[in-house]
Amino acid sequence: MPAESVAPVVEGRTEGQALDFGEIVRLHQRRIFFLALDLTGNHHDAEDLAQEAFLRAYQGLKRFRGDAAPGTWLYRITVNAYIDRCRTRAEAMAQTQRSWDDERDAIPAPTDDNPMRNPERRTESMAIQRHIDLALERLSPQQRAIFVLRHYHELKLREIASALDLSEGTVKKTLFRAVRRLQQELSCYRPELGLEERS
Amino acid sequence: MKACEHVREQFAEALYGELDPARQQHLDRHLAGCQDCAARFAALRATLDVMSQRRRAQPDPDFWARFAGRLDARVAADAVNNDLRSRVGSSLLSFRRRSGGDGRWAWQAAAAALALVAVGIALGRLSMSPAPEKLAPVPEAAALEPRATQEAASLRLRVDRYMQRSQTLLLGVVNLDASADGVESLDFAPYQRVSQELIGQAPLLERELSDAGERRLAELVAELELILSQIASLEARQDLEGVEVIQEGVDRQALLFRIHLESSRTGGREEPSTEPSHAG
Repeated sequence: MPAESVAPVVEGRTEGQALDFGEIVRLHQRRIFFLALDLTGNHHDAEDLAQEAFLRAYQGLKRFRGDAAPGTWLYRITVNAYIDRCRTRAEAMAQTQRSWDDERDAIPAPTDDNPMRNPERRTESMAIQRHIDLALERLSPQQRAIFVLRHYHELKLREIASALDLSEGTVKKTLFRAVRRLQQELSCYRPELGLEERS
Repeated sequence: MKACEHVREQFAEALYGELDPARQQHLDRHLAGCQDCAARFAALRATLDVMSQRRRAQPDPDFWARFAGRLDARVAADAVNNDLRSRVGSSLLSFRRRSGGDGRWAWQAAAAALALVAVGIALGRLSMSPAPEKLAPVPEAAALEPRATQEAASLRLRVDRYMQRSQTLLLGVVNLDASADGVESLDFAPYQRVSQELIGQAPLLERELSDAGERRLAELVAELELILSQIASLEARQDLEGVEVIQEGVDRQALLFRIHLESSRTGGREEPSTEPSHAG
């Protein structure tokens, strides 16, 4: 089913032009899905979040004034939907907290004779992928949103500020704290991250 | 020391190459002369290198067509719900308030609402013809555990979670008592939010359960979906007639008992929940 069928052309208010919701979905579904995947960490929740974001966009299309690009507008909707979910999913977050230590302990930490020390094999390692996912889960929703937008979606800091309606200073500080937090969470790679002296 | 603090404030921008040339030069000069700051900066950069090794499992090629189909169904269901709210919910259901009747009309209106929701959902699904969903797994994960086992375990967990959330939600709704709490205190927004989330998950769950031969569970999810649609369609506040309709529906279909039965059968866990509850 092509995305065009999602909805009829909806009258937007951008310079008197009609906004085709199907076109918006088709153009942005990949980046919104992958943003949702970066935020939630799994395909099931990512699809659900991306769908919710598009549904919110559809519901708010007539109010969309066009003073931001549709992509920026969708980023904002997606992150807001994600943060709303996090607020209502305290149980899941608590579960994540509880399971973190168990899971981290279960993953082999790199040692000198561990293949994860070998950069080529490390890339192929499932363990490091899991470490990275778990480290991302330790960020606050806002830290995670800002980090993934900068690191994986390559938005500039001012673009993130604009998309999330935050000041650039807040974005910088939050990003810095996010990276510091990730550094701590990945401390099992201590020598590689140069952490021996100051963790 | 002051200089170090000032430089460190610029680390976030520097890590992503967003410093203007003058500030970048200043930073470089400082790092060249300050071992501590240089080490800290290098450690942050190494952290980002590790984070760059993250790989996302790609959905299979058919995923995007199905994504559009499911979104289509959600938009259609939302439109039906809105239509019900504006046409049936506010006019027919309010007939009972105005007439002070025995509620028969309200029940008929609710039945009509249910039928419309059901038709809307069914039409949405039929028109989209979604294919069974299978996301491409991370290759390493697939190698560690047989895929069928992983999927069965994942489905079981999600069904348990779905039933648990539905149960908590329905318990909250059936225990709503305006006479005890006061009409003004009733706020359905949290119930509606959770209902909408669950409605969004229902089609996929139903399909997967059907594919797995869990017909009874699939039917239960479908019946829950209708009740959830009613909850999602409640007027924002004080729709007491709507609540009564839902309470009666839950009771008539023995939904709470059946959820409990299925949870016992599948070994669903009873865990504390933060879903909206009567007390909450």
